[in-house]
Amino acid sequence: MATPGEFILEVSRIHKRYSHNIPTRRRQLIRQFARAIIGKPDERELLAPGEFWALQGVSFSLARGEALGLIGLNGAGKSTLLQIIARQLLPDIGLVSVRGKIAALINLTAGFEETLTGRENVFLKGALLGRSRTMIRQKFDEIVSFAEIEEFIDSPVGTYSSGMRMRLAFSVAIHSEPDLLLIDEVLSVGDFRFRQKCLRKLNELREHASFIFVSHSFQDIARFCDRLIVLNRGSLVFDGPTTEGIQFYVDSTSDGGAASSASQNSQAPMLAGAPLTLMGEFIHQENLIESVSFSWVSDKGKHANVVKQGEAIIAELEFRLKVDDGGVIVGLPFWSPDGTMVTSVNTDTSGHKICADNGGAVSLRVRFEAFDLNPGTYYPVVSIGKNTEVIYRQPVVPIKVTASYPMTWGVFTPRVNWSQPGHVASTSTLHKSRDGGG
Amino acid sequence: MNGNIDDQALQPFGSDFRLGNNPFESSRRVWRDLTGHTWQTWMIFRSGFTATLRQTYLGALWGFIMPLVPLFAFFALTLLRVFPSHETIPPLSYMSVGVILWLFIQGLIMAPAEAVAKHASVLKSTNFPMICIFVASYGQLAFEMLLRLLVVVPMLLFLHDLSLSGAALLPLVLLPVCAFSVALGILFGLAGILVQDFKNVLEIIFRYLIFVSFAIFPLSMNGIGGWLYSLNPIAIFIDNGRSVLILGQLATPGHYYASSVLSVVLLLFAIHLYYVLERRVAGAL
Repeated sequence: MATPGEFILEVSRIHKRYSHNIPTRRRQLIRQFARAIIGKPDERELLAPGEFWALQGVSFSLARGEALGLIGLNGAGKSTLLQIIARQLLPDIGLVSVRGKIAALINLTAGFEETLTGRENVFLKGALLGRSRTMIRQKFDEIVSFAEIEEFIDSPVGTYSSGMRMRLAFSVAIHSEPDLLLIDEVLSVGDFRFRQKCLRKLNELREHASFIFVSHSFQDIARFCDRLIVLNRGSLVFDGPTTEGIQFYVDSTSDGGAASSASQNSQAPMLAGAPLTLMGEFIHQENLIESVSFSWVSDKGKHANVVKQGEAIIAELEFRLKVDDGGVIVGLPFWSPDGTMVTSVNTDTSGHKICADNGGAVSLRVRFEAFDLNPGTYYPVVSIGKNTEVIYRQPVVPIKVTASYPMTWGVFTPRVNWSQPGHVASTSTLHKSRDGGG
Repeated sequence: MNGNIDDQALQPFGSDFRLGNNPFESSRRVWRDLTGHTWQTWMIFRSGFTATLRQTYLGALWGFIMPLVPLFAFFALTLLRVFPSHETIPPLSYMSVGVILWLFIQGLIMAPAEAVAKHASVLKSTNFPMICIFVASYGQLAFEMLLRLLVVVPMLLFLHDLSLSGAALLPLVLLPVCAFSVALGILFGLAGILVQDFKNVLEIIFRYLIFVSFAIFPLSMNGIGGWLYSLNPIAIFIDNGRSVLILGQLATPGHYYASSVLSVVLLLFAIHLYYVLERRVAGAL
């Protein structure tokens, strides 16, 4: 019986040789055929002309319940590594040892038969995962319900949208009770809401399963993974804590990830120091929304990017929708410089319905009655969604909070009253000083 | 997606994966793969089979028409006396049994290469055993063979050209044929991954090999005909299978037994090679 903390995966000195050149690849294969016939592996450590190492000497291990992030530039060897762990590709040198059942979400919709119904494909996909018919039958309702395709389950998969197929395939995979789940960038296909749902489900699975998670979304990696490894041209160049790994990756790639978004952004100078890599992906669907402007306004009606702790501040936002205003939600999450999301407000939870004028223009103000965050700079993101889809998500002007009283801890200071029942003496109010008490 | 690796012990997977097995051990493990995935194999067959039937307005009808078309085409040519006759077996019976055996053997040889091409994405992105894909592709072939037998056997009965004892023995007589054809199918399937135009070469060969395989008409056993017979196990299997079904006896027992031994050896080699190479070729798909 497996026990928590035991190693579920051990990767030792994995090498994989590749070539982009077809004759070279053919020669490689012929050599492998010939070596296989005589019973000796092709373990030469030298490369022939035209060959390169897709993976070179990669070693790491993974404990049960651990979630490992895997990042690297395109061509770094991430997918090859996942395929080797999933036993889809054989390493040229080295050894992979896995304990238990694997589900690899690498090419999610592979194996779907277009002409068969969703119901039939659930069983087919389950069969390709090596799961029994009885097991799939037991999980069938859960699978369909999670994929949110109840009313289409008896329609041919050929009529499904790519999102529906992805949801169905993902649902089958995560309900197959794996010990090790390999996730290769597949969550990026779904809409924002479904992705959140998948991440919640994956968190539930963490009690008994381990994960290797490949994503270009640093936010997902940071939220989900305990540990991170970074691959660069087939070699493992970092193995350690997630936040440090992301920073290492960003520092080591001059044009990598969200950092590049920031440098291309017109607000880049103001965003210097922002934890852009942890603030999630930035989106602007220009066919759906345009002319977005944002500013901070003080209580006196003047533009101001600075607010005194506990004072009021107003955020003004204008944009033009190219679609109707039904289901539009505006959110304003804030990040601290260390990448912690300190708070978030949105029109949906506040019960405010967005209304556009005839031209699609929306003018919105949100007044923070008392900005109680502690002194420091906070980085907001304007996030505009329509139904389940995020149509705009960009960092905007940061807000700087200045101190109202000398000592603070943490990221915000709540308004509190201290008292001692039975003692008439002193009642102290933390915000006394800024409430005018001197 | 991944297949089932249910053992909680650490399962090693390295560059020497499966290289230490002998052909018998490989065969045992391939058999275990097959029997462990019977339901999955059935699902792959069923999805392919029903997909074929659902594609058109006439739907299932095509599933019955298409396998019979080549048989009826050769019926017509035989009735037009295009082909030379055999000395003891009437032309229509000679041709019809020969053609169904030929189509069966051809299917067994060609199906794996076609299945690899058709299911490349599954084979590449899962570790579902390739042998199950091969066997699933034989399901369609079994259906077509059955359909053709349903036409040919009543015809032989009607023409008084059927040996009932031979008909009972036919499945046994066909076992070495199956071994030989499956072995070639596996080898050609693997070779097709290595050299992707191999499938086209096979198609060309099988389009014309039928004329020198004693399938639709006999060749003189003297001179080059005898050579073609002796060197072509397909001709030996077709000739003996037909002889058993119609005359109740093997036509050339010596050739048949030698070819049967060769077939078993070839099958063991093919299965071993397949087992060793299966994961090695996945990356080339």
